[in-house]
Amino acid sequence: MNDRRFKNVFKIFFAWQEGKEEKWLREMSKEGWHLDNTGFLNYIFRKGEPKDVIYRLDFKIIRSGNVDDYVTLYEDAGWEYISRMGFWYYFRTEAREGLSPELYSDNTSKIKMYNSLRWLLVILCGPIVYNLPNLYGRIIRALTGGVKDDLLAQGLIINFAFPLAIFLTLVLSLIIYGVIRISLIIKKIRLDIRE
Amino acid sequence: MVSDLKKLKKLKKLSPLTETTFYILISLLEPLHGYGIMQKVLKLSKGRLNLGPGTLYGALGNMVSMGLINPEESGESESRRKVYRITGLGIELINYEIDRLGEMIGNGRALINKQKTRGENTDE
Repeated sequence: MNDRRFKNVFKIFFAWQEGKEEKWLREMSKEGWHLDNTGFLNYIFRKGEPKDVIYRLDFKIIRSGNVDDYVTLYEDAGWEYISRMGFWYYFRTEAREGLSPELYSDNTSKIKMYNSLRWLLVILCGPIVYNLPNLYGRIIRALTGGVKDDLLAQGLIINFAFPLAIFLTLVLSLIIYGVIRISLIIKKIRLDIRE
Repeated sequence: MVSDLKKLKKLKKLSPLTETTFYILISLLEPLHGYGIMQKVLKLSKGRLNLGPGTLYGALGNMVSMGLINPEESGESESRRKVYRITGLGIELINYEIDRLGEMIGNGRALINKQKTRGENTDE
C-alpha cells in the first residue's frame, strides 16, 4: 500500500451515521480519492481525476445467492457497486446537476430499511442483556465471599472478568444509543405526510 | 361463496396500495425485469415517479411474498435478471384498487365542484 495511487484509511462510522459517511466519501472523491474497496472499518481509495461523485450506502440482509440479482438491479438503475462491509453495500453514481439521486424514492421503503437495521441491533443486544447481570452477580459474589482468601482467583476476576463486564456494558450502551438514534430517524421520516 | 368472502377479506387487507406498489403491479401486466419496470413506471407517470432501486427491490420482494407477482427465470442471454409476472390475485387487487380509487376521485370531484359553484354564487 506504499503505492501513491492507493490510500488506506481507518475510520469508524456508527450504524446511524451513514449520511455522514456518504458525505465524507463524496469529499474524498472531490479530492481525487475514489473508494476502491472496503474492509472492516477500513477504506481503500484509488487516486484519480477529482470528480463529484455521490455515494449511497444500502443496508440489506440477503442470502448470498440473491446478491447478484440485487446488484444487477442497482447497476441497471445507474449505480455502480463498489463493495460491502457487513450488511452495508456501497454504491456510487456521478452527480448530475439538480438531481439528488436516492436509492429509496418513497418514505415507506426508507423506513423499512431503518427498521431492519434497528432489528439487527436489537438482536445483537440479546445475548449481552441475557449474560451481563449474571456476570456482574458472579463478580460481586466472588469478591464479597467466595474467593476472599484466594489471591489468584481475585486477580483473575479483577483483571479479566471485571474489564470484560465493563466492556460489554459499554458495547450494550452503544447499541442502545444506536437504536435510539435510528428510532429518531424513523420518527422524523414518519412526520413527512407522504407515503 | 366462502372462498369469495375469503378473497375479499384478503384484498381488503392488502388495500390501500402505495402509489409505488400500484404502479409496479400494473406495469407487470406484461412480464418485465427490474429495470424494465422502472422505465415503464417512469413513462406511465410522465416522469413523475422515478423509482429508486432500493424501493423497487424491496417492493418486489414483498409483492412476491404476498403472492401478487411471481419471479420466473429469464432466457439465457439475460440470466442475471429476474423477470416478474403478475398473478391472479394481483390482477384482482388491481381491480379492487381501481374501484376504490374511482370512488375517491368521484367523491373528491363532486365535493370540490359543489364548493366551486358555491364560491361563484357568493362572489356575485
